[in-house]
Amino acid sequence: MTATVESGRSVDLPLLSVESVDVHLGRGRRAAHILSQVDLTVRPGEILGVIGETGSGKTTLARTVMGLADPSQGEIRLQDKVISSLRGSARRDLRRGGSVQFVFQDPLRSLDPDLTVEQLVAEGLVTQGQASSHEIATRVREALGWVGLDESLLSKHPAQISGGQRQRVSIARALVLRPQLLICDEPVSALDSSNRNNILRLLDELRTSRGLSVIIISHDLSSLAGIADRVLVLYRGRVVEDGPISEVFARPRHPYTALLIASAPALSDQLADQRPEPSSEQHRPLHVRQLRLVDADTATVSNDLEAGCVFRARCRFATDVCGTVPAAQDVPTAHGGGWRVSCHHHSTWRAELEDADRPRVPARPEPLPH
Amino acid sequence: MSTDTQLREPETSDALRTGVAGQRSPGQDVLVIDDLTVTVHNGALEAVRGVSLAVRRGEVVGLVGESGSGKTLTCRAALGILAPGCHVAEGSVSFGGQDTAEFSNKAWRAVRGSRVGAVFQDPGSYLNPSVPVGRQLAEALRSVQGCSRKQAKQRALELLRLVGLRDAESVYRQIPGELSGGMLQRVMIAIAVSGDPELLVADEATTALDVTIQAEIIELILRLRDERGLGVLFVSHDLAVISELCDRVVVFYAGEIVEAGPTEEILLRPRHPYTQAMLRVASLGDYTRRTLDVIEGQPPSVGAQLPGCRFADRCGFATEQCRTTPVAISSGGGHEVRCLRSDELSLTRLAS
Amino acid sequence: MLKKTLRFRSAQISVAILLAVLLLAIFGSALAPQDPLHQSVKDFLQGPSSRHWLGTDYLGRDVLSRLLAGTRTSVTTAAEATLVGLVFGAIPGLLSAFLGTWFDFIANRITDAIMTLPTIVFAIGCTAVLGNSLTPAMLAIGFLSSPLFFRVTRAAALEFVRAQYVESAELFGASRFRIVRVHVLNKVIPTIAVAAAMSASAALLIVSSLTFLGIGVVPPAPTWGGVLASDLSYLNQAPWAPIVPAVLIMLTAGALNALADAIRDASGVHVSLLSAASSKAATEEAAATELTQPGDDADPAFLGANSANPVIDKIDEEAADVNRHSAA
Ligand SMILES: Nc1ncnc2c1ncn2[C@@H]1O[C@H](COP(=O)(O)OP(=O)(O)OP(=O)(O)O)[C@@H](O)[C@H]1O
Ligand SMILES: Nc1ncnc2c1ncn2[C@@H]1O[C@H](COP(=O)(O)OP(=O)(O)OP(=O)(O)O)[C@@H](O)[C@H]1O
Ligand code: SF4
Ligand SMILES: [Mg+2]
Ligand SMILES: [Mg+2]
Repeated sequence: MTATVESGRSVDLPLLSVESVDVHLGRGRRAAHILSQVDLTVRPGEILGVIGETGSGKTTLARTVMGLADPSQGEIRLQDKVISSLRGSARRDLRRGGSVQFVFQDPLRSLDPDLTVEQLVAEGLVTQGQASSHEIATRVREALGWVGLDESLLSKHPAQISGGQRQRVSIARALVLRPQLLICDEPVSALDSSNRNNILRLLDELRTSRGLSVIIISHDLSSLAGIADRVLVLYRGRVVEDGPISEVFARPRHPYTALLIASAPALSDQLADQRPEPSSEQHRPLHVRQLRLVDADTATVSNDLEAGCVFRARCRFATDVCGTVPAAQDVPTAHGGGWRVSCHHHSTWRAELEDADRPRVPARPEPLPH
Repeated sequence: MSTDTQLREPETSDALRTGVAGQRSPGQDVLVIDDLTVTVHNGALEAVRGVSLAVRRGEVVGLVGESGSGKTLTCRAALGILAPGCHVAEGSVSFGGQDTAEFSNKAWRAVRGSRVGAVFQDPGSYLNPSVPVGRQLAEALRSVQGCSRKQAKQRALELLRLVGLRDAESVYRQIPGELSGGMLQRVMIAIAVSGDPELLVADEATTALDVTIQAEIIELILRLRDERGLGVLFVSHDLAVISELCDRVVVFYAGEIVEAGPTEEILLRPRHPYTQAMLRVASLGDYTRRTLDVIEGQPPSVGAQLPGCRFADRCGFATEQCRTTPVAISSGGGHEVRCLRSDELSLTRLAS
Repeated sequence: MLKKTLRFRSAQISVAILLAVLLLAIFGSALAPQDPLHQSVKDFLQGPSSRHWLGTDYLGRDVLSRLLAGTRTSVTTAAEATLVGLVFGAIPGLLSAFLGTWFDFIANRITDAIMTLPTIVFAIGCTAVLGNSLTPAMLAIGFLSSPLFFRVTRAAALEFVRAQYVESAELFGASRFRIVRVHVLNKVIPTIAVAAAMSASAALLIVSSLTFLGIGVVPPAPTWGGVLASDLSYLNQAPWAPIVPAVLIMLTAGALNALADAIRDASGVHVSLLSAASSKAATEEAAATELTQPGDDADPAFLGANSANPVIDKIDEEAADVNRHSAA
């Protein structure tokens, strides 16, 4: 854990706090309950990882914080200021200040195809209208340098650069505004490992040098483990686990987190042998087969987020009590900072596994519908 | 074509398998790219040069390499859909033994409709934003397989479930803007495999998926490979996925192939310094906090004319000769490498 | 976009024709071999001769001179009508997409109301009130074409207003005005250009039919439509006479329409419904769309907005291009 997180003052003063936020999207028949009772806090200089199934509401959560979706309940605060109720010019002023920036998940769609890379990266600065054009030009080049792009790209259009280059342009246009809080939706998914590490290192550096706070939504658990302090796990619109990333990854308390971590693509055994010894894991990693409920009848899952634990249809350990929504429960942590899990059986399921320890036989895959 | 339609009818995978043997003999090349050079900016710059690779039936070939190294351009050239301003300047692409340069428009249409499927980076941009995705998928099915509207819908729902969209019915009705990135990507995968293609070009097709769904998609591709003899060109930055999925791997650097060979070979015994550096910084399967390594320096900009090896500036083993003499790709025992010193260096994945 | 449009042979021909018409509009009166208003009763309704290349009309005026001299009026009136349509249609259309519910609702109702007005009757009414000259008639025609501009612009703008890069600009705190200027305007311009070309050619034809009815043109002044109208009244005496003015009108209108088509093809306006991305990415996308939505025999109704065929034609062109290159 970094010093910033542990120092008393910053713990008391979260930069961003999201409190019991519910989000509904769509109107009429299409209305859907996307997020339910989501809480999170980010402190200055902290990096929070957000993981979860696809479609679980990670992007929606980020968009809600940015004011692109309105919460139907709950409150979002930046420092002391409630931002979720801002409208019109108050909201525009906040945005123009540039203290919170968002990197969209799909760079091709979020970059105007008619603008050049230079115009795209400069857009925020130009909108602010404070910097001189000379200053803008220098800052744009500096930002491109940070993300490892060379200046020959400045005059190109988004369709003329590669996917990974587009993604880095998106990051550059957020960082060029020197935000306090950066929310990135899968910022490194299209990058090779070297460039990926370069971006993550950059964020890590900025948080130490400038106290930048970052929320990173990512499916790449290994990257997150490399730099994040905390991790928040979403499943179907609810936070199922939220705690220090090292501890959560080493010993997940929610069956879904465990399943997710166990499903991470494994290296072939030979390759794995060459990997450095896992540092201090006392816990034998679990296998997917131990956690997957193979005969899960997920087709009948109700869309009602209030009808019990969201994971129960796929959970191996579900019992009758799982028909009620589990409250978030505190789990003791070694390093402090809070660890909350929403599972009725969070303290017992692992023991059950170790008892039985009989991996279920996977069912024969169903035939292809050809 | 008629045998093909027959093949789709039986429901059991055994029936599929017997059919495949006759129709699609394994080992035959489905896609051959020979000495391909792609220029961008109307011929001003060479972004891909001298790329040769082949995908056989029932084989998954992985393309890896630094961002901007030309993987997507290669895939697009193979499909004949380069963006305006980009051209195949040299070399050939042949599909099922036929040179695509000779394809008439009609032939291309037939090929793109049913014999190849493709999933691109940035999936959201390729779907009609105002039409429910299910309808788009069903339409693809109807036009390729000529089934009725009802059948098409039925199949579309099956396909959506096949790619792990459990709530297929509601996804069917949603428009792209109402789906998450990963859901869109899976819809694209469903569309791509819907025509029972011989070749699947998947350009970073699993980047927006969480690991559990990704595992299911990998399983699906492997099953299609085994049961249907599908050949796959799979671009990915995730070496763990590559190691699970691919039979062979081709490594790109700055528009050229620098190394190619069987997956195990490449990942365990890389012979090119770039491959080795890439593996070193990847910290595969490490779930702990660590220092994040990068390969120092930047790749040459697109189309830069260099006399020697394009990796030389960043290579720890570079000699004067590396910088000044052109380096040809050498093939030895199916493991090709483009490095002057590959024989004297003995690299391992973890050596630095 | 201009460059791409001019790659089409049809666009090249259209532009050549339109340039010629423009030259005639500027220098027509000077080029006219004789005074277009000079009457010579003894020479009425003559066939082509060395003195009157295209013959004379019922008052013995030289037809060639009248056509040349009439070009300017005909062209300016068509342009006037289009301009009026643009101002009353395109601007509210853009605003409507951005200002949201109230403005949109009212603008739409007004548009509906305008659409119910019958063109010719309305034009007659206008000239009755404002005096019988071409400008009021054209104001009327232009005003009546504004719903076309409104609808087309609004639809195109709406497509882009919801694009993610507009959201992203909003997150930077950009004003509505800036968003329209930077992100939306250049993308709807091709659409507006297509509508304008179509409306200009329609205006040209309407001028003729109005002249035919004796509305708008004050008699001795020559216009294409006027020449055609007078020729048609004397069909018995000179059956060949209407051919030249008719061809002239049709050629110009045809060139405008062909140009509109070329703009549409080049800019991918038709594809813009397929994707919120702009013209630049459109062709590339179209090809990819084919991969995902193949279909010779796609049923357009079933696909909604996406009628695959023009798209496929476009791709084939691109593909043919690529093929040629790889063959070379
Ligand atoms: N406008 C909308 N109307 C209705 N439902 C929507 C809308 N936008 C998103 N959804 C639904 O909300 C859910 C969450 O979507 P979201 O994009 O937040 O997922 P995500 O966690 O970011 O997933 P991914 O990892 O795949 O990007 C999805 O099930 C999606 O279908
Ligand atoms: N349409 C284009 N016009 C000009 N240059 C282009 C075009 N498309 C790609 N390039 C350039 O060609 C190079 C190769 O691009 P390509 O998209 O093939 O990279 P890639 O290997 O797929 O990278 P990534 O992993 O980032 O997607 C890049 O440097 C890019 O800038
Ligand atoms: S040829 Fe030389 S510079 Fe190039 S990769 Fe090999 S060792 Fe490095
Ligand atoms: Mg998302
Ligand atoms: Mg790419």
